[in-house]
Amino acid sequence: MKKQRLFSIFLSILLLIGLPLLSSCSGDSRLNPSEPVTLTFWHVYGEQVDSPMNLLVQQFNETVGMKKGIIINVTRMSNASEVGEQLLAAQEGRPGAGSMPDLFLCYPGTASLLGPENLVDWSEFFSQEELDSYVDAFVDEGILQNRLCVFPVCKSTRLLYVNGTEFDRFQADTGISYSSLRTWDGFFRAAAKYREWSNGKPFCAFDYLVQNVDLNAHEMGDTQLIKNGCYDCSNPVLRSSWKQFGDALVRGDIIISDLYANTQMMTGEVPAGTGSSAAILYFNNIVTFSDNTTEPMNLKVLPLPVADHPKADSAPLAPQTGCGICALKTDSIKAEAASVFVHWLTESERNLDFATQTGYFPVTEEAFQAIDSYPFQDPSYRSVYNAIRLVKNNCHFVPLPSDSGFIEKTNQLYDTLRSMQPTLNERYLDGADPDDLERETWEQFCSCLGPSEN
Amino acid sequence: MTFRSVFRHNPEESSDLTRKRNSLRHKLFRYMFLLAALLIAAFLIGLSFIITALRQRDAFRASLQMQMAVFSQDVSSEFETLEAAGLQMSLSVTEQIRTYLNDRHMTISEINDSETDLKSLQESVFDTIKEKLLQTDSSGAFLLFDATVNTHLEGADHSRSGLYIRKNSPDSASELLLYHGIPEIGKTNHVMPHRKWTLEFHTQNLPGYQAWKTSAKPGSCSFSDIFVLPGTSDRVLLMLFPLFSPDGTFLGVCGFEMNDTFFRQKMAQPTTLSHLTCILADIHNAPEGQAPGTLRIHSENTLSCGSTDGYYLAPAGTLTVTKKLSEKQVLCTDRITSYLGITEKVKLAGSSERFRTYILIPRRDYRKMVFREGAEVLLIFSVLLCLALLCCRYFSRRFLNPILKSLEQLKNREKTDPDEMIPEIAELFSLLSEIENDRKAETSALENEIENARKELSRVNKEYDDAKRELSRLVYARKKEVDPESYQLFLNGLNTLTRTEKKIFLLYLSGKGTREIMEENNIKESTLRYHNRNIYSKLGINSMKQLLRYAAIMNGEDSDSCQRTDFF
Repeated sequence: MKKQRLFSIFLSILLLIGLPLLSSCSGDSRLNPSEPVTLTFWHVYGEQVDSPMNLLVQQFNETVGMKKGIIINVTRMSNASEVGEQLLAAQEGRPGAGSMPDLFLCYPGTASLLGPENLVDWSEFFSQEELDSYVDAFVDEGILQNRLCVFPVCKSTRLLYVNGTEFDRFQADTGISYSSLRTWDGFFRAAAKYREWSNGKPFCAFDYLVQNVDLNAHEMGDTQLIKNGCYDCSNPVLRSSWKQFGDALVRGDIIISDLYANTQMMTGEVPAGTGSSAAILYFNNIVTFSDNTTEPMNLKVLPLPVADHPKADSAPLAPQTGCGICALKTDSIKAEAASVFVHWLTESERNLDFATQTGYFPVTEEAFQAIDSYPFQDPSYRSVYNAIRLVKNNCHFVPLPSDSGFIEKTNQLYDTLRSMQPTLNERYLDGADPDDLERETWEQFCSCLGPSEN
Repeated sequence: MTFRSVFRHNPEESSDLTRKRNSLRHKLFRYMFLLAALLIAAFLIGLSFIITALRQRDAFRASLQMQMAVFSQDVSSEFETLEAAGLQMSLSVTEQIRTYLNDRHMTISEINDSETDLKSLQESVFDTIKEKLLQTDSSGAFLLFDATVNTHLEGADHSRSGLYIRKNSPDSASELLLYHGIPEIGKTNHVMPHRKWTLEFHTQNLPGYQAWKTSAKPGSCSFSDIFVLPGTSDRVLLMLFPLFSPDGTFLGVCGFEMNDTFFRQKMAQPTTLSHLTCILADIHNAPEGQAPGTLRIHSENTLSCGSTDGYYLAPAGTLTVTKKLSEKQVLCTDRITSYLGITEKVKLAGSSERFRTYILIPRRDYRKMVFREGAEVLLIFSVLLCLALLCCRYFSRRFLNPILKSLEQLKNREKTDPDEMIPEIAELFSLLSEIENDRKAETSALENEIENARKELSRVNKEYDDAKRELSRLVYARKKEVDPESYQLFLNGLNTLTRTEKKIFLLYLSGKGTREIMEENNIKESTLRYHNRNIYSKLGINSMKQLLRYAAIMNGEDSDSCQRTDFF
């Protein structure tokens, strides 16, 4: 018996020595610093330019990532629309599309197309207390089929950017001031006046024209613009809202931006543009003309104009945009690693710093409120955040439609209108009936975004 | 003799064989042989594992070498392709520029300040640049004329008109963006301005441009330093192809851009090595021959990639070679970790001294591999030790159990078929049986002897009793013959004898003669007679015969009743 006991003890010791060699499990976390897990990451912050997100990723990799065994590898930077298309292409396995990233930024509509069941449910990694620290509306936007698939990182709104140097000259000559740009009526009058003043140059390039039409119609009092996932083209308020924009398009007072309004402002093609608050990251501080002379942009940033005759009890509306972060559901280690990264990324202080470098607003309640007192050194950024504060304190944020295919349809409309623009202008200058021309644009709107004929 | 009879089973032979086979010696031999064979097999298997484990280091070094060969080949091949495409592009655009200038009888310097000519030139070469960009695995292509649209501006000497088209991402279907150039030309060709577009290229942003321009030769290919493209976070390496007119006039420069994102994606290596980092370093600012520990390469001067499985950790800060393990093997560290790897010079587009490639893995991975080797060896030894213990335990049990069983049977006196028993035990049984038989025989003989002795004793006792009875009878008869009074007087007189008289009396009773008594007591005959007279007188007797008769009667009575004991 004694010998048997000794033998058992010997075997136990051997097992005790051997088991750690055979197993690397330790604690609850499955992350292992000596076996780092790599997460490929597609994001939309700083496309083409110096990306603050890349700096954050580098900082994460060198600190928390190194400690916990997580490496974030940014393999694509682009805009949300392109990332969305590439994600769908990758999921379908289209040739040349590459493989799906582990982490990516996209709109809830894209996430919906990818399938919520294929994405990590963030609520499994965030306690209710943690979720309560985020702005409710931002979290709610990312819930698809009762799963929190799209986690808010930062949000943006749309703003009106104005080349201050050019506008000051225009103002001095015409008396039209920035206050004229508070309402759409005033805006379009200024645009018409500018075209006249500048001998035919358009006043403003629009990145997301449909969003402006949509919000204008909402402010005018109709909240039922969409039926069965499509714009209701029989809606008179929507028609009326479009007409304001359509008329300006036909006259050449405004244009659909080539790609981004800010590049057309940089080349002096237009003195104003509407775009995301995050576009501030991409603005040059000078305008360059064809003879290579330059002048300071002196960028002024304003809230978007509002409807002239809003419904009595409605507050001005502002679009709430911005992607959220999703993680592809693969294995539990990657999901945990993604959760660590998202927790780190959205910590209040870091979230505020990141947002304020990129023209976004943060997503935690604490950081969201801190914007009001945040000191900005750069005048362009100060101008952007002054506008954001105005919007935040005076407007009601409205999430924009992100139904399946909405972005693709609007892009199709913009492409069509962009190609029609020169002809419409020519025909208008040749004396064609502006109403007929405007109706053509409305037909294109309905063709792309209205109910299908089937 | 029949066939059957040859193979007829002989029970005795079979039994002998079985016994032989079952013998302890044979069993022990078999078990020892089996144990030795098993241990040798286990040792060989363990040895092969250990050798395999130890060979992992060699395999690891071989993998590094292989990876280095593949990576260097990939990089060389990539830049050779770009060199070929660049030379073609330079020939093509040179011809287009030359034709344009010849048609208008202009020189390159005469198109300065001419928006029209520069626009026309850009339009004429746009397709060539775009086509070459799309044909190659580069992140951008450019053509800069040695002219500017406005010579009157400050810094005009460094401002050069031209086209710089970039891919937005490394994907094949990526959109193109106009980084420099006339936007209308880009838009016409569906190439929208870059977010950080500027009309012209500032050569001050291209390190070493002026020196390069002075030394550039027709048909050559050079590399720029790696630098950050203004307005972006992209670090780029430009391949520069100078453009010269037939008369040797410098027309401009065209080339390709390789940025870090593109390099990272296109050069990602398929590998079996974990956590691989591959680096292409521009070392012309970090001369060779520095003492180990001082060779530093700033990560800003490198392009790097990871593996195709998605792993990539960019070198951070300065990569410092801390130790040269061999001609190629190095240990190095950066801001966040330390690496083990190999490095060699790589020839890119004819430049053999400009670049180095590095294949690195984190040192902790290597340490872990070494630790794992040690652990595996330890584990194998432990398993072998366990196996040896288990074998010893098993075989000792197999060997001892029959013996113990037999001893148990022996203890319990169970009978077993000898054929089933271990022969040595059977022999022991037989020996013990013989000893027992001998012991039984001796016991039996002893018992017989005891019985005989007992019978003899019985017979002697019987004779003794008979003699005793005869004696009693004789005493009784004598007693009847003597005068009771005289006998009583005799008995009484005994107590009156002196010591010497008693001694002499007893000597007489023991059958001694007068001579013997005189010699024994060393006395004279007269002395003896004197004592005799006293004895006779005290005992009331008058002769020796009477004395002996009374003494015999007295002894006969004593044996019956133990009288007179006190006298003797």
